[in-house]
Amino acid sequence: MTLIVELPARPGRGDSSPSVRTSTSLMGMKLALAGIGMLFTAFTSAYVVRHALDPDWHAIRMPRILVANTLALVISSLSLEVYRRSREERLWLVLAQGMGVLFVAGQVAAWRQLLAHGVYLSNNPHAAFFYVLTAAHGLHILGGLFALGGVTLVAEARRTRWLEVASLYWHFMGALWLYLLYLLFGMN
Amino acid sequence: MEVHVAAHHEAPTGFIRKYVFSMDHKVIGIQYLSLAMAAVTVGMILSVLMRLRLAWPTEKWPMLAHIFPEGFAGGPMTPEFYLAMLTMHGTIMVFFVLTTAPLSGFGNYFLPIQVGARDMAFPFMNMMSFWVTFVSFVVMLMALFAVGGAPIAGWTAYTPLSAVGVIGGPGLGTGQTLWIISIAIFCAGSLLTALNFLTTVLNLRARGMSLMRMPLTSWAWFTTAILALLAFPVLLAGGVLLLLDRVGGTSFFIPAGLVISDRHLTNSGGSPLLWQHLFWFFGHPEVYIAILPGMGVTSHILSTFSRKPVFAYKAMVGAIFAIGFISYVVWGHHMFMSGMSPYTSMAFSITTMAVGVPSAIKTFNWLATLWKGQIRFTCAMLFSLGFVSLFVTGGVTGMLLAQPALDIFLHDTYFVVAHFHIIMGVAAIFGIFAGMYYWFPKMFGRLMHEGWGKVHFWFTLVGVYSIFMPMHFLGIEGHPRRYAQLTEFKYLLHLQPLHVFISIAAFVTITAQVIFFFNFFWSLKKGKPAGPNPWESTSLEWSTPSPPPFDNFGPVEPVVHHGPYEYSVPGAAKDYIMQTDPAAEEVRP
Repeated sequence: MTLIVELPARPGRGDSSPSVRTSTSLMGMKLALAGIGMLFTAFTSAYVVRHALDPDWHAIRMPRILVANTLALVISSLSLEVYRRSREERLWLVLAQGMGVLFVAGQVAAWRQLLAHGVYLSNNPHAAFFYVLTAAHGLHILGGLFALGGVTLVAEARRTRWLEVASLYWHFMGALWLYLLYLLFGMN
Repeated sequence: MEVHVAAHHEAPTGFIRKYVFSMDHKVIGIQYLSLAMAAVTVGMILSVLMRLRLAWPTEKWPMLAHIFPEGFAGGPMTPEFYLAMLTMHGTIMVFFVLTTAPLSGFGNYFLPIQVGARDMAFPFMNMMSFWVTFVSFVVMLMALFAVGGAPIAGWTAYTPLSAVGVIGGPGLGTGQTLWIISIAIFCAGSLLTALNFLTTVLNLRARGMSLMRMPLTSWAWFTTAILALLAFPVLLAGGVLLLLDRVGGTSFFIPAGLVISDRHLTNSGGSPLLWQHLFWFFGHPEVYIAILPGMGVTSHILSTFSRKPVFAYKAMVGAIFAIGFISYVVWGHHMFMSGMSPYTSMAFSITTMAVGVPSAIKTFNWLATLWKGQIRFTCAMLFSLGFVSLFVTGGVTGMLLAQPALDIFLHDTYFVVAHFHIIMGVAAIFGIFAGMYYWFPKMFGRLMHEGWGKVHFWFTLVGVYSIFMPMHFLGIEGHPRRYAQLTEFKYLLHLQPLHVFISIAAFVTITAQVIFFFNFFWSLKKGKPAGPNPWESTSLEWSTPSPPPFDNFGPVEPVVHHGPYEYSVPGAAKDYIMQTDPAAEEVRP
């Protein structure tokens, strides 16, 4: 008779080393992204169904500034990734943060342009979805900017964890924006 | 092997940090349970008001008219007030009792301990999730007392009624808006809880606690958290769109050409059915969010008190997952009457009936667990047996309703009311009671009074069957639900005595809950001291003192050597082997 003690490779709770904490936080973030993904999946299904009920659907033209915004977000993601991998040049992080702020400013400008042209939430469903989706995404982006700011502000010991988790979130938000852009203006 | 560790956050000393804004999962669990107790009291009062109206439709209640002058304007309760009671009863019970107590309450307290963690993965977020939920409850109570009345659109908030605003009826102004805001906040709180549960199980299990050594309670909470993580965002999305229809002038759910109270609405092109799809995509998993923890508790308790391992543990885990998975593809069975294509309803009918397979696996495994066991009829055991009974009773009618041809007749009758109250309402409540009698000694260090507990059990069991069995007959006779009064219809007149019987049964059953509350508070002070393991259970929570210390396990890191249900192992010194017991030999492979 042998004493079978099957121990998993995973360290126990007592091992609260930085790497374990990082993997725990990353797991939490991946799950959060699954939830956020469901939120936008639900919006998508509503969009598709509502689009199919055609009579009052008037597609709005894409505000030109969205091209610049998209570019800013892509540059932001890329420079964040460069910083995450090298961890040497702080400038990359600052660039990522700056481009993120620029994106938000650009989105606000896009809203203002549309409003100036008389495109309101209540005009037609396409406009409504544009405002809803950009607002929902924008709120998540603001959360991301908060996290990116945290990378600069937190103590050195926690920086790696912040950076890893914030990067994952930020890249997801970038990809989500590309998807939303396609949903709103690429599918017509 | 002893591993000394430091808890990742120190025990707080001040009252506020210790009991109010606490980050300790145990305190948060008790906070959730307290919230659920407050909510269930409100919910029960609302059901008493409804039952008064249904049983004695023309009776005037001067005292109630004094408290609710508008609701009882002109004597008996107004039909609108009845609808408001119905809406708030359903909402409060489903969200703030059936979701809050079994998942957030017991789950918070016991999931980390059962998997050998010192706290949830994200304690601060855990604290946030409770207070967000608390705010949500406060907003819901504000909806109850809102100017213009409480919302009347039902807990499903069907559009366009819930979307058109105050012209649709009383309570559809401020009340309905507050209702939507409350639910949106609730979604956020539940998502935070789900994140914590999942990360804790995936990343913080103790050494030796492989997934297949987790108690079935933990498996149930884990699966439920997956359901919550993927279902609540959908309700949140729907809620945002619904709110915009009300305040932003959009037409997501409001169709064109709607005329209400001689007013022609300018909205166009929205789809009321879109709301139903979004709502039920959330709503059906929500049913399982309420019931799965009860299944876990029942498996755990049946094994403990029949002193036998759970029959077919792996099949039980598989069945939990199967039920969770299937719950995502059955939502259409709530919409058989919405004019969906017969092919679609056929598909939903088949997936719905498929839930019967894992459910039957669970039921038969429960029976096999009991078979030839040395059964100890504690209160926890009685409520678990009651759970099995209710689960079968309510499940069988689910199979009937799953068939579109039958549902066309039974839809929106009391048959449905009977079905869902038994399966997701009362069965889940029995799971909560079972958990409460079982874990009370762990949470508070004292046993609840078994004698009074048994009186409580028998009153409740006989009571709930007396309430809900007759409703099946009402439904079969074609009695529609949701109406305050149908005395003008001759074919329903002979059923009125049944309504009187149901109401009296409901009052007796609700009164019997006083026994529970009395027992609960009496036992807090005067109950017998419990010791660490009064039930001779095996899982990790019973290896620590009652109540457990701040970091759950003291200085020694728990190491798990056994599966969760090592009862009556041949050759063992005692009839149970703790999961943490290093000395005992593992006989089963």
